[in-house]
Amino acid sequence: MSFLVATAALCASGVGLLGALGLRTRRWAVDVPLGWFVGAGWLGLAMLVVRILLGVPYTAATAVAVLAAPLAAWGVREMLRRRRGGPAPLALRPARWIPRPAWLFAPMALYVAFVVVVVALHGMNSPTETDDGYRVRAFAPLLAHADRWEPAARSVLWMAGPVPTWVPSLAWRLGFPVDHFHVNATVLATLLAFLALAVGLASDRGRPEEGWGAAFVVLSLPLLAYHVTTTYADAPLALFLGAAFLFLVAWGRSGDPADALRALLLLLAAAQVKREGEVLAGTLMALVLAQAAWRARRDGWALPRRLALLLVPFVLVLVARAAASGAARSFDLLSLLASRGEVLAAPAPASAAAAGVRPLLPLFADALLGLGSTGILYWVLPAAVLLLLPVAWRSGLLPSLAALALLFGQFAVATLWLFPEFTRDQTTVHRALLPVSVPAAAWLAAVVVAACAGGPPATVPPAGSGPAAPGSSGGSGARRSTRGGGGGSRGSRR
Amino acid sequence: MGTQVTAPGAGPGRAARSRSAVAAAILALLAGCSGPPRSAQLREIPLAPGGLVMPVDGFAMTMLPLEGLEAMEIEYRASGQISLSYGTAASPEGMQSLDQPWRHVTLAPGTGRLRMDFLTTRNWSPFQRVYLRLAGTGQLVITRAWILPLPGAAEELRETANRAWRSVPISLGHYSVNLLDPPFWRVSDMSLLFPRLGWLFLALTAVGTAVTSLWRRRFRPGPALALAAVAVMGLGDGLFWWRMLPALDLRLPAGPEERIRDGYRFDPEVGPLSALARAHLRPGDRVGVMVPPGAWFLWEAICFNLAPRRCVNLEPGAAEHAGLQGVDRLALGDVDAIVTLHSPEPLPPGFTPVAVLNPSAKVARRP
Repeated sequence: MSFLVATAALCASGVGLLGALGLRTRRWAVDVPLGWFVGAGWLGLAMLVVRILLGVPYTAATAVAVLAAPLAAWGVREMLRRRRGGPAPLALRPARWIPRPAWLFAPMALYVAFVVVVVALHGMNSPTETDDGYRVRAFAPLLAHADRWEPAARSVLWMAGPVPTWVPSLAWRLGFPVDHFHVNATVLATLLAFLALAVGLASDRGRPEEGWGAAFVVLSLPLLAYHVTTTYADAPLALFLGAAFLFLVAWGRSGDPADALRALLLLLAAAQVKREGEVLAGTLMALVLAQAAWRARRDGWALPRRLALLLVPFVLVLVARAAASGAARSFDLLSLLASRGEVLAAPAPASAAAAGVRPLLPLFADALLGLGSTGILYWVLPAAVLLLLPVAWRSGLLPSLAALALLFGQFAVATLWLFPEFTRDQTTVHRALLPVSVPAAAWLAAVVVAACAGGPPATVPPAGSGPAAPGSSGGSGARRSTRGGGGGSRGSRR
Repeated sequence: MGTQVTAPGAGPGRAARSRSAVAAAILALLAGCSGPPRSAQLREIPLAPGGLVMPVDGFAMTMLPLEGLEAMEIEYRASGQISLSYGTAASPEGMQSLDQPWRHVTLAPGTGRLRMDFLTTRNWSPFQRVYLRLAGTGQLVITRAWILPLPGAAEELRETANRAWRSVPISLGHYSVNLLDPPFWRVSDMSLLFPRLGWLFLALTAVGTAVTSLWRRRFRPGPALALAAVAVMGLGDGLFWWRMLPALDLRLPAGPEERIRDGYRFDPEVGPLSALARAHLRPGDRVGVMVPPGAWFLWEAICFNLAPRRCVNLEPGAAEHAGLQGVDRLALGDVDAIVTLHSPEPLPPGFTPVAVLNPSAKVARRP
């Protein structure tokens, strides 16, 4: 019960932030799960600033104030909108909830429901018993609850990231008893939010097949299905990135800057999960902004300032984590890159050269294709890219494919060059692949559904030149109705 | 497609590219070594009048004078908090490994019957002896035992091993967050299941695309790719969950104290002792944990379960003791309560047991 209360508060706060930024879709099936991700990111960022930078103690009042702030901002925005007498929000187009054909999607939906039940039961029955769990991932929330930030504790925060640190502790801070299983519940809630967002968003856009397809593929990743029953943060990072990709895919089709803004918000939240989140999400944010700038120039609309302004909280995350744990530690990836570069630049004897990338390639291939951690995803994905590239181009999915390639490239560099030992002994290489695999599943579902729908997608102009018309509380404005499961839309060209 | 993988039993800690002991043993059999004639049924073996008694305080290992077994079933009587690991080994070092795949089971107090399949254990070899490794505190008495020898013919042995590896449930261990037990298609030639599924997907996609393209006179691979992906993913999912479900705890969740007490699968005493300590310690107590030297899992798991209480590992002779990630640092004089589990050291002066799980697992505090 206590976790449900905290979840509701977090979702409400996230929806409030969406409302304050004018990014609500006004579809509760989308806004509530989106609110989980956005609320988690907001809580992490706010606590970094409030507790670490400003030194305000983490009390119940602090937590309530942080949660309430977005709701208050949304209320103020609504009040101002009504005073200005702006236009009423445009009517939502009808969503399509039932995927077709039913004979294919009914078993898929049953499978999704089966896996959710199974992982929820096992996850909630499993106390933390793997070392990284009780040393870092599940330990950080307990330190947050105790409000202890001496240097050794800050190193735990640096490793865990703000979101996995403060989100599980929220219920305890609001007055409920400390329950170690809230860490498990947080991971499971993130999975549920992703699945709900995938289905809700796709149904809202008239393509429920895409949402159910993404849910099916994600739950066909065996290692992810096991990871969501643990307290490790690899699955949450993968799911946060996956949620961002849902909106990157949507943006590619719709051309609506509001979708790009939502993707950036989700990337901002993902940047606060694990150390790796900063790097993965940060590079994706840069790519998305570059794509937005190119698109704005091509389509002739002004790049919304808010897109670029979202970089500010990202920089704040970096600054606050550096303040928490020290600049040198915060940027250890750079020093690692530098040290690897020095090693490679030095003359190497033949034996050292043999320990290069090439011997790792069969092991790398095993991780992707043979050992089953990601099922057959990396058999299907290249086939889809090769065979369906024209569909991806017509459906506006190339930008999100580029983002996926960026993620995969970082994974390859990390596992073949930065940390080859973990590929050599087949340990963390498999869970390092999860943050690539969930976004890949989202992209795969989109391109396959687009290919099955057949025909070029309908072309519609973007919804205004910004995320929302002045005076509207909706985020996306009007959207043209589409039929069936494959009709996408993209920005107009001049 | 390379199917060179970490051999079964080599574990994620070693990237052995050489053939596994399994493959080597089967190859030896193929080369002409034949085993004993195979019994169609389990054969009971005689035991001493009181059965095979295995007390344990910490851990205990027994290597049985049995080789060339496919499986063994036992009827047993267990007391205390104990877990049983099993396999075949050539040396004491081989008996101690918890690497993948780690076949283990926690034995509830009372009587029961257990089947141990050896073909799917770590580093199995028909030329190695069966071992049983107990962890915890208590006693296992094997009252009856049956053995199933290996098939005599090499071909039958190979097929038996392949069938066993295809259907063996996944064993969860410390390594599972990195890599679940790889699913083999044919362990006799070290071929894996998922590459076969991958090729099946590609074949179905190619055939489906060819058919639809000829039928519609237009190249349209999407539907064939989609159906092939869903079908083969579904097949893979079914095979995965068939092996995974037996390893999972699917009870309706009880309260957090019960789940901590009953949910630890990697050690039989950590959960019950943690629950006992949580019940008898105050929220503000500063705790020291005493465990055998090097037993990091025991003290770390206990300290985690006692958090956010300040908790440290009490190491003999140290002036200051550190907790998880070095966050907590306490001297013995600052400690209010001690949790001890198989520690070779006695309780420090001034501490009195207030709760006892077993003679080796106690909660003590200053009066």
